Amino acid sequence: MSTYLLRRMVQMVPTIIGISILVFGLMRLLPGDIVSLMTNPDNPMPEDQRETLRRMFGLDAPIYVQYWNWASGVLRGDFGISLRMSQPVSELVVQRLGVTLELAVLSVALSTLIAVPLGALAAMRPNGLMATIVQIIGLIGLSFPSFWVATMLLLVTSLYFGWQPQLVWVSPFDDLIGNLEQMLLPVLSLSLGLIAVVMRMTRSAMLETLGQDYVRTARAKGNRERVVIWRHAFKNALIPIITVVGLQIGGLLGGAVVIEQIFGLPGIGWLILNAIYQRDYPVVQGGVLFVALGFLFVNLIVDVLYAVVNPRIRYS
Amino acid sequence: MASRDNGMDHRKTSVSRPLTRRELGRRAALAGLTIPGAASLGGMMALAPQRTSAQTAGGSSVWAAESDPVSLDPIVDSGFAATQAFEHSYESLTGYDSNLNIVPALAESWETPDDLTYIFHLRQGVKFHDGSDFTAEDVKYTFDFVIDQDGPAGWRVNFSQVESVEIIDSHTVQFNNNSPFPGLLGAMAILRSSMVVKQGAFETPEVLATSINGTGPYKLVEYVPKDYILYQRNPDYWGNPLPYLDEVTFKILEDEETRIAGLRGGSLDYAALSTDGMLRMEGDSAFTINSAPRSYLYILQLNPRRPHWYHPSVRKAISIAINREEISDKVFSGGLHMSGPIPAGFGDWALPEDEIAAAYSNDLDEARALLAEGGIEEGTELDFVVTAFNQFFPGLAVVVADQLSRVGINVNIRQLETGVFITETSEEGGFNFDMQPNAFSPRHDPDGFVFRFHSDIMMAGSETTLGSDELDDLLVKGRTTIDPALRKEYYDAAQRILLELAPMTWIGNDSVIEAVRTNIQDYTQSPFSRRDWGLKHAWIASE
Repeated sequence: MSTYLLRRMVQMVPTIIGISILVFGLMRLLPGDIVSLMTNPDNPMPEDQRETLRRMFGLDAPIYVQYWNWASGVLRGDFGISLRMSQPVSELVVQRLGVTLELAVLSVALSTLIAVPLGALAAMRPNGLMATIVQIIGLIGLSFPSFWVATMLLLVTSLYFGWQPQLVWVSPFDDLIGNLEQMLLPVLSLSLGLIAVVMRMTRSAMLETLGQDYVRTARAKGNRERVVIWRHAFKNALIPIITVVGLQIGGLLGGAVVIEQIFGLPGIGWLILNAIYQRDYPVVQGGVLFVALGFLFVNLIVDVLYAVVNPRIRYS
Repeated sequence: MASRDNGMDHRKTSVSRPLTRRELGRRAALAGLTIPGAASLGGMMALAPQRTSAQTAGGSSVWAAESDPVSLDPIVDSGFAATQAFEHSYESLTGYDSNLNIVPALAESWETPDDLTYIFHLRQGVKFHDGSDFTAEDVKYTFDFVIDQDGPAGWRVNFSQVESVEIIDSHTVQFNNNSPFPGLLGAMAILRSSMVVKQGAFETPEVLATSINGTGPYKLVEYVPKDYILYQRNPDYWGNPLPYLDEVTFKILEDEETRIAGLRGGSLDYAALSTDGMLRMEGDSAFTINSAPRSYLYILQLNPRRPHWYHPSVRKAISIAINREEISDKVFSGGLHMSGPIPAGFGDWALPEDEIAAAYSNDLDEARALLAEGGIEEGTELDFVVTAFNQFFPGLAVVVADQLSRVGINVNIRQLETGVFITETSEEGGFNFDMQPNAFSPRHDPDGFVFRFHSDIMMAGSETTLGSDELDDLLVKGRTTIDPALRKEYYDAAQRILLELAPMTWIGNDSVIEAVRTNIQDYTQSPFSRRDWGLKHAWIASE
């Protein structure tokens, strides 16, 4: 197992290098840089002043030199300084990591807790009432985009109930209740879509395993139905479910931008998006690299979990 | 100069009964017409805080900021959002009250022994937030940096008439100007590259960009970009007992929906609104909603590098063809006020409204004739670039395209992301556009709105000038004459010439509209969208 883990980690290296070159290059392909964006359109800066600023930001060096400076810094653990906010990139990312992680973990946890039992129930009686309800929920969850759900939730709660959580984000360590209040609507809006995805996956995976020979054998041996469903069928259906859930967590690390924007949550996705608008290269590079690493690790964990739930899978 | 007779009563627009959009816009317009000039010279008003009623100190409040300051750098940064963030913590020698009168700030008084000299007597016993003393050294250090021709000060253009700064004694400084400079007091008050920093501050730009060591009523405690700015009362403020609130949080909410939800949901005590937002907040008795013309001027700019578009008769034709009233109704929900080169809301400097209306006749036959004269044929394509940098620009583009189609111009709108837009419309992108919308934020002096049309600085980088010696002469006289009455004459004459030449199409200025929870007392509104004066005097009434 440990050699497997080591091998997987080594395999990540070229991926990371590739991502770093890609994000570095793509950012510089975008027209405009930090200096042109610092210029107020109604008070244009003279060209000599722009040159001074570019020199200050180190943007006058050839691009490969800039890449080398940045990449070698990253290897030493120095992700650079934000051009616009003058704070170390690592600090900015860590500040926002908590928000994004909490949002991702809560949404995935909530949706998994709801979706897996519902999906399994639907599979047990494919033509029953439960199955129909599950299918309707699935259809709604997939059809309504999360930003619409978010806006509606925000509108309904503030307009008709006059309820709104605190606007400034509070850490769960300072005020757990206040924090959960703030997380409630964002988590609900993200969960609806997730529930649909996970539930459908659970249902189809369960349907497949329930038709397998070993399930019939288990029943034939006189096992109670609960044991048949959860120990024999469900355990075997877990692999695709874990894959889907893992992908969702990975996606949420950088992909909840819209929800973060609507609810004013200062997360990673938001940080990166605004850095792109500002052409704040170090922040985009550091942020994307970080999200990519997170994604790779979640994938690794998913692969390891395969071995845990299915003893026939052995990595050596 | 008009007196300060327009009390808040006029400007308070009661929202208890329904108003039509048009009426709202007109009221807003009327209310601001008598605001005194921004450059009332040497107006030494004793403005020690007066306890008119029983103000209560203390309490905390959450306000909405509509844009992110991005950087707190007080000198290099030229954005207005940054000014709105550091105005509570930094000060200059002078300041504005909410009616744009120039009031003493770090300077207690000033004198002008001759036309070229200002002597400022600085306030004694003022301390920076870090506890150090404020002295003449700090003033000289700050302004030496600002006027440095090789320096990065974003608004050094405002101080181009300052030659040198001299220290007379520890609390007296002298500004030596290269020409009579009536705009100096305004250039300080507007807080654009004019905040006094502690000596040595420019050596650590990264500290300057992320924190504030000023002398103002509120200390900056924390700024989390795109999230919030937290201020705490400065107990050592020279204006004691001001300010009254202990703690103020500005939550950055760029989306008006979210701001309205915050007001309704009870988590916000203040938010700036558009006319549309104001109509939606109607009838909510928890808030007072004030509206007044704002010195924020929307314009259309033809590309001076494309002579077939920048032809005098074509410029004039487009200015005539644009229907400002329709733009106001369709884009600004009736909240836009027709404007010439200097906007209403900026003191008494604007031309009378009927004169402006006459220049914008919207006579489409005349516009067509002028276009033909300039060689623009029916169906000519116009490349109109626009960005959502300002929330109204995209809508403006659509209405303008429709209006210009009525005189036979075929407008192609290209909506670009802001970074791309700035590149396309600057040297780097080869000034690749025919027309673009723009908006001018408040200026320190009428000079700031019109001197850009002087032949010497006309359209940076292009050869094109307006070629009017008379205009050049008036503009120079305007910025170097001390007597306000005389200046008014020069600027009136200059504006009449400009309306004729139409170097850009002035559309109008919008309104500053603010919702303030009714228990917040004595907050006053500024036509510059500044909040420092209002917040400094605001207090929370216990219910």
